[in-house]
Parts: sequence; C-alpha cells; structure tokens
Amino acid sequence: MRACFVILLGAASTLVCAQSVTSVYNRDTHEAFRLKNMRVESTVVGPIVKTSTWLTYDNPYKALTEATLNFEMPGSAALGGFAYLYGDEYVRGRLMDKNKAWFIYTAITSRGRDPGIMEQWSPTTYHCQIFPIKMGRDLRIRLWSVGMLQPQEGTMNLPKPTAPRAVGYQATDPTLVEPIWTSRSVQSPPIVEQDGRYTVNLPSGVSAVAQKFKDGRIYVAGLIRTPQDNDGKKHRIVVKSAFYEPVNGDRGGADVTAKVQELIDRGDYAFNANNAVFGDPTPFKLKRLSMSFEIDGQPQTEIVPENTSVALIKNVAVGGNTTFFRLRQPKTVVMDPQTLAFSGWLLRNEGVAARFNGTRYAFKPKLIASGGDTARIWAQQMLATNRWQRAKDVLAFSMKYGVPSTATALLAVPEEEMKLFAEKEKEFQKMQAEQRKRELEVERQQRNWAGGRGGRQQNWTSSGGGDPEIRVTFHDAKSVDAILPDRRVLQLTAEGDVWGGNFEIPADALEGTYIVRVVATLRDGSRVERSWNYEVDRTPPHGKADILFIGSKPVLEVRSEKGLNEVAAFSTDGWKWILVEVRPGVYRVELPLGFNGSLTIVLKDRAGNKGQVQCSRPHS
Amino acid sequence: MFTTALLAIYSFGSVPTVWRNYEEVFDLAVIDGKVIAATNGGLLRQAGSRWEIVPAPGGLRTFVRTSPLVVSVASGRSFNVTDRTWLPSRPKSENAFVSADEAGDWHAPTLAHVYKQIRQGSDFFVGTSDGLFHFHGGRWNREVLPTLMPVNRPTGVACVDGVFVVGGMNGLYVGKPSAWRQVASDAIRQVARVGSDIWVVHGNGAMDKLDTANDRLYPDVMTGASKRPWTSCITPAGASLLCGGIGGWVEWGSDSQDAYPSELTGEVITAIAAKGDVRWVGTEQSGIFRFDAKARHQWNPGNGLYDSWVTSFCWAKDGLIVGTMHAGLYQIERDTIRPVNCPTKRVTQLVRWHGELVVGGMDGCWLQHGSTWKSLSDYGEETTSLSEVDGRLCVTTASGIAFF
Repeated sequence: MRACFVILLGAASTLVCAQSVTSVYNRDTHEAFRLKNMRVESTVVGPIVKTSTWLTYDNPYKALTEATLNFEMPGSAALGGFAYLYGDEYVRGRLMDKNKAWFIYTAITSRGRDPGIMEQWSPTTYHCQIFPIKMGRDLRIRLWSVGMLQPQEGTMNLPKPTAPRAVGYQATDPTLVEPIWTSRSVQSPPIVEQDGRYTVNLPSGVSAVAQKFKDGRIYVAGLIRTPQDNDGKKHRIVVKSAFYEPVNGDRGGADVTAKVQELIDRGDYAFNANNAVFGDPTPFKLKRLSMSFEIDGQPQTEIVPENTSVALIKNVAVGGNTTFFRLRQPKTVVMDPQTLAFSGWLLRNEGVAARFNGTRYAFKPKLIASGGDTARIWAQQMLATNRWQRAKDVLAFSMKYGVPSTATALLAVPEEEMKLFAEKEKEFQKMQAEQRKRELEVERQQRNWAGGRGGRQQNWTSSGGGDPEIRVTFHDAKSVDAILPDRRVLQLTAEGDVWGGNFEIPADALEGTYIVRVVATLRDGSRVERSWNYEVDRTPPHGKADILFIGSKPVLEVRSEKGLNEVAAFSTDGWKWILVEVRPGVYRVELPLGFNGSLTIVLKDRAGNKGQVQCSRPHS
Repeated sequence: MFTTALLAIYSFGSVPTVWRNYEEVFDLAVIDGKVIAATNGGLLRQAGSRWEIVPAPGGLRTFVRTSPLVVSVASGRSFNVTDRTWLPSRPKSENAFVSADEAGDWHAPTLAHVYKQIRQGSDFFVGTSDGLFHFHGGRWNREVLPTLMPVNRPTGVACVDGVFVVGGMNGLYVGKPSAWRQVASDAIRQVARVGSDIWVVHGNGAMDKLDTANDRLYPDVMTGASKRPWTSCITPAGASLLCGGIGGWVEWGSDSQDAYPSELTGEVITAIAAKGDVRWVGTEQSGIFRFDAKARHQWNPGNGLYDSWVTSFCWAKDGLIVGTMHAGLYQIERDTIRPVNCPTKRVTQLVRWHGELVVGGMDGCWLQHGSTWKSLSDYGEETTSLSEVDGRLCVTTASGIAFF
C-alpha cells in the first residue's frame, strides 16, 4: 500500500486548483487570447466541490479564428464537461468515442465549419480546440468539474480555478486573474471567506457522501483528516534554493526560492513547474525547476522539467497502511500527510471502516440526492490508476460514468451543424460495424486455423472422409490455388501469409494415397508449387490385449499398429482408461490394484477407423 | 438423386424437390451432336438453348468413355450412365487421379479456373469452376444451368417465411432458388431453426444467429456470453437451444447457462438431447453420458454401446435412439441400451418425420416404415444433414438438397 501511495502522490500534483488553465491562444498565430474575466460558481456538498468556471477572452480578430485551450485538473477531481458560446448559442460538448469524435470533427471541418473538441492528454491534462469564434464576439468557454475540498494550512479550502491573463506559446501576461467567485454550501459547514480563499471548517475525522448511481450501486467519496497532533510530527519543509532556468543549465533563469517556499507554506505540496506559476524568464527556451530543500532537516534536491508536476510530498513518508472494510474497489489520493481523499462503491448504503495513518475510522456516508458526482470521482481514479488492457474497455467505462479518458473526447457541435453531425455519426457507426465484422471474421479465421477449441487437425494426412481444411504459408503471394486429387481447383483465401480453404474427401473415396498440389502466383509473377499427401484409410486397426503384472501392479498391454490416435479401455461399469504408446505399437496403462473385471479396448487410428478387442482374464 | 417413387409419395409444394449446384463444370463431351457436361451437381445435356438433367450421381469429374457413357466421380469410382450401374472399383494407385487442365493460350471469358474446352462447329464451350461459357456469334455467353442452390456439400437447411438459409462447405447463403445472397464464406457445420431465429454453427466452432425477419446476422454470439465460445453441435429444445462444445454444453434461452461436468473434461460433444432436467450428451471419444439432478450414468463400449463415437440422438416413443459412427443404431430405455437393426453402420444423422425414424449415414439415407427400411437415395451418397423444413423432410447430401 505504501508503494501505491507513492504512485498516487504523482497524481496529486495539481491539487490546489479546480481547473488550472495553462494557455489559450490563436491556433494560427500562436498569439495569446487575453482573459477579460473569470466567473466561478462553487457548490460544496459534504467534502466534494462542484465547480463551474466561465472564461471570457477578448477576440480582437477580424477573421474567423480558431482557439486552443489547454488546462489541468487536480488528480482527485473529474472533469464534468465543457461548453462554449457560439454567438449566443450555448454549445455543450458530448462525450463520445474519440475516433468517432475526430471522424465527425474532420468531416465538419472540411466544410469550413468546426465544432469544439476536447480530448484528454493525460489523466490531469486536457486540450481543446474551438473554431470558429464568431467575429466581433468574445471567446467564452465553460468548464465544470467535481473534486474534493483541498487541505491548506490546517483548513479545508474550495479549490480555486486559476488562469493567467494572457499565455499562448509565449507568456504575454502570466499574472493570474482573480476570479469573480460565488459559492454555496449544501450539507456542509458554512463557507468562510478569508484572504481571498474560501474555507470550510470541516472537522477532523471522516467526511463522506454517497450517491445512488444509475447502475444501482452507491458510490462514496470522502476525506479522512488525521488531527495534526495525532500525527505526532508535522513535516517541516525549508526551501534552500529554487531556480526556474534553461533546461541545459544556461544562465538567465529566475531565482524562485521565495515563490516555492510561499507555495509550500500555503500547503501546496504539489504544483506545476510552468510559466503560469513562475513566469517566463527565458522566452522560447525550455526550462526546468531546480530545487534544494530540507524536509524535517533532511537535505533533498529535485530537478523537474518545465510543464512537469512537482510533488515534494512524495519525499515524505506517509505512515501506516490505508485499508477499507466494505468499500469496494477503494481509490485513494494523499492530499497532504494528514489528509486522504478516497472513493469507492457499496452495494447498499451501510457502515464503512477505514484505517489511515494508524487510526481506525468507522463511518456511514451521508446519502445525498442521486447523481453521478461521486461515481465520476471514483471513475476518474479508476481510469488514472488502473492498468487497462484494452482500449475498448476504457471506452465503455468512460462512457458509462461520463468521465473523459484517453479513449473518449468531448465534441461540441452548434445546432446548424447538427444535421451533418447526425449523418456523420450514422456513417461512423456503419463503418464501425463493418470494421467489427471484419475483425470477427479475422478472429474466426485465426481460430479456425489455430485448430479451434477442439484441436481439430488441418492438412490431414489420413482420413476416412469429410471436409478437412488446407492451410499453407506463402510470402508475397497474389493468389494461391489448391489442385485437388479429384481435379477440383480451389482458390484459397488469405489471412496474412497463410492461405486456406476447405475441400471434400468423399465418404466413398477409395483407399490410397492422394496428392494435393498447391500453386501460388507471387506478386512478381513467378509461380511456386508445393504438394502434400493424405491417406484415405478405411481399414480398422486390429490388436491383441493382455493384462500383465509388473511387480504387483496390473497393467493392460495392447499390441497393435504404431501411431494410433487413441487406445482406450472401458470397463463394464463405464470406467475409461487411456493407454499410452510406450514403444512403437505397444500401448499400456496401469489398472487399479485388484482389478478383476473384463475390458473392451477400442483402437482408433488417425483416419477415425475403430477396432475393438476384449480382455477379461488377468494374466498371472 | 433420390428415389422417384418416394418423391411421388411425399413431395408437394411449389419449390422444386431436388436442388443442386451445377456451376462447377469439370468435363465436356459431344454425343449425338449434343454437348454433355459433367458437373459437381450431376450430368447435363444440351437441349436447344436449355440444359436438361440426365439421371446420374452427383460429384461428376470426367467422362471415362462416351459409348457407353461412363463417368468418374469425385471418389474415383466410375458410373455407367447408360445402364445406371457402378463399375467395379479398382484400388487407387498414387497420382492416378491427379490432373488439372490448364487454360493454355485460351482467352478465358472468366477469372474462374478453366477445366475443359471443346469446339463444336464454329462454337466453343468452356467448362470452368464458375459456370459454363459458350462462344457463339462472336461473343461469349454464360449458359443458364438448372442450378437451384449455391453451395457445395450442403450441411444444413432452414426456412422462415419462405426465406431459405443454406449452409455448406463454401459458406452460408440466404434467399431462394435464383436469388441467393452469401452472408458468410467459411465452412458451415450445422444450421437449425428455433422459433423465428436460425442458428448457424461454423466449421471453426463459432455460432451465429440469423434474424431473417429483420435481415440481421449476429455473429459469434457465444463470444463474451459463454466461458468457452466453441460449438460443435446444436439441438433445439423447446424455446431454447442446447449447444455442445468441448468439455460441456451451453443452454441458450432467455439467458445462457454453461455446464462443464468433470466427466466431460476434454471431450468433444457431438450430440445432445434434453427431456425435462435430464441431459443426454454424446461424445466422440467416450460414448454417452446422462446427467440428472440425482445421478450420472454413462454408456460406452464397456457396457453395451459398441462405439464410443456418438453422432446423433432422436427421441422415440419409448426411449432415446442413438446413432454411432461405426456401430449403427442403439436405443436407450431407462438404464438399458440395446442395438437397433439398421441398414447402415455408419450413422451420421437422425430425425423423426411424420412419426417415422429417418437415418442418414455415410452411405445413404433410409426411412423406417414399420419394421422395414426404405432407401431415400439412389446412389448411396453421404447424408450431411436431416431436418424438417416447412413440414417437409429435408435431406442434404454431398451433392445436393432433396425435399420430401
């Protein structure tokens, strides 16, 4: 579990903000859009916070313009969606298969129109494109998310969305814009404004809420806060030096020691090393953050490249295992040494027990109105931390919970493009169905050529009749024909370099050896020929059976032709023993001690012919 | 071909009684000024602008002699068409039957393989793997042959509301004579109808559901729904379907239930039957197993079933009839098993039709009538499936389909 914490701490790197816009710029000129204002609405329900942010950017362009928006989310939060205003029309993004979204996006773009599209680049970073922005109208974008209250200096704060005034490829004005913030509290202590921060006086211990989701499960999200006194030791971090400098160590960087110390003192143990936080001391140069600091007196150093999350807290040992009782598939994010965010689900709303930092907590989550907020928080963690084998599983999971992932995208289409959207959606579904059909056909063919679950033989070398299969490999062949012994020419079908098909061996084919010729015409026009034989055999095998005693053990021995497909002995009460060929033509199996009954032995050759011998008298 | 007298007794309806595929033309000859064609479906003779069927076995390959007319068939045996008798078979020597005519510098009118070309006056006839072509008046025409079904070696037929589904060695087809549509191209093992749905087992063990009402094919329905999506045989049981596989079976109804008893580990299920909660399972290697809530019973060569390879089941008034690959028929009544007299030892198919037992074998097809058996085939062809289709008995053989 400790190892798990280290992994999760990485995800907790951007805990401090609800949505952290990193850049918004003109996609053609790379010039930054200037943020006019940012309006934020936060609703606190127990320990979870729903945040909606409207960003209004000035649009000075006299032609149709495409905007790009990049932003980050805290590891413990889930993006709910995005929307934009096309003139006065509110256009909301719909979550869908990423391939489908790009297929439709490209189709509409080809008409000179363009919906907005947003995709996830990593579990915490998102990229969005919007085209066109109506001339003479501002670029207005809405983002909404659901996350957890953030610990800071012993209090729990509402996560604050951040956006720089103007950052594109270059930082024109990286100062953060103060949001116009409204907040309300539901089923939580009142929100208190203090020094530009909104604080909820959440008591220590567990604060958790539960919601019934459409799948019938109860999803739980909450916080566990260990009292600092109980921790026995609050970690003291002193920043000795911090430089935001060119990545190759060239001169010209900025001393950001005070800024980093300020962040840590504020409780921001995890933050981003980027221009939005530290400005841009060396434009057009990739930078790094180089730090030297002490944790509880222990010297540490850390160098992280630009646009990478810094998580100083990972250097701090978090004590004890975290365990949950009754909560299924629990997911945790360590927010600071005293605070743990968790999520999971229950079959019904019942008591849960947890152990964190050596303390046991028992609680029953507070059931709130049905919805998907807690489910989304959990699903986001599942997507971010689980090892997913197949993209289609990610897609299905992401669609079920309405959480963006690497397999999905949010596509926002204005009403006037909806007809085309519907047509393209139908076209995509048809294409997908065709693709699935082809994949199934390939799977089926591969299974067939792999021998199926029955392990059936292909390229039979002996048969009594039927419709066996040919399978042969040719590289670079254009066509392959099998010329069968009865003159029929069979055009084989290809699966990569393997060519195959079924042919018929008539039930009354005469016994003997038959030759199948396979002629391949290669792409360079040359011909390659191969052949193989099969045997039609209708003569059942004969044999002789005895029961011998080897030592004191009774052993059934059958002598017959070599290489039989199966030799099996059946007792009168239905028991079956399979004999093993110990020498060519000699088959044996050990019988139970004291066996004294009669046996029927069935000899089966590779062509399916069967012979029988009886054996009933033990040989002493 | 099937016995004419029985056809007279049983055939009815507007659909032709015997469906064959004559599109693979292996050999051509001219007799009495008329072109005759040896095809996979049988023998054809030119009759003006039409082609008429000459009574002969299916699976023809070459003309051995033209007077009297002797043809060889796919198995290497020869048939005298004139007096309708088989010639004595000679042991086959290696390479004796291997040949493939090449097109030479012939400008073939088709991409199909050319088997034979002949000249008749100023006309040319070309027999190919995809039809018979006729060069006349400076242009090529594809001859219209009396083909009524599209597959080689049919293995199953079903019909819903006049729409037929035919599976065979070269795929699955939906439609009716003269209007077929191919919906799968790989070998089909079995076709069965349950309600308005048609279930199709592929040679590779995949199982599809065909909804003919909505013209939809649901491919590989077992994948994801069953632990072992490999099907070897299916049997309708009321509104549900029993699907035999490897090591067990799946009961496919309103929901699917898998059963993998330890006794069947590694066994390929070749036949399955149900009555109430009791299941009879036939295997390729170990005979029959009966599973019910209280006990399990098995029959194999040790206790009365003298062949461990069970091919088919059919219910009789007083028990279960069992077909085996090498030892003919058996009947199970309660816990006892006894052999049943039957004209073939190599039973492949069983069905009950109009209260009578029909047995299909590797060497023909027979209808039980009281204590006697009547042969339904003239040439002793392998029976590949038996079923009841729209109230008629449907028998498929290596060369065609017959409805009685």
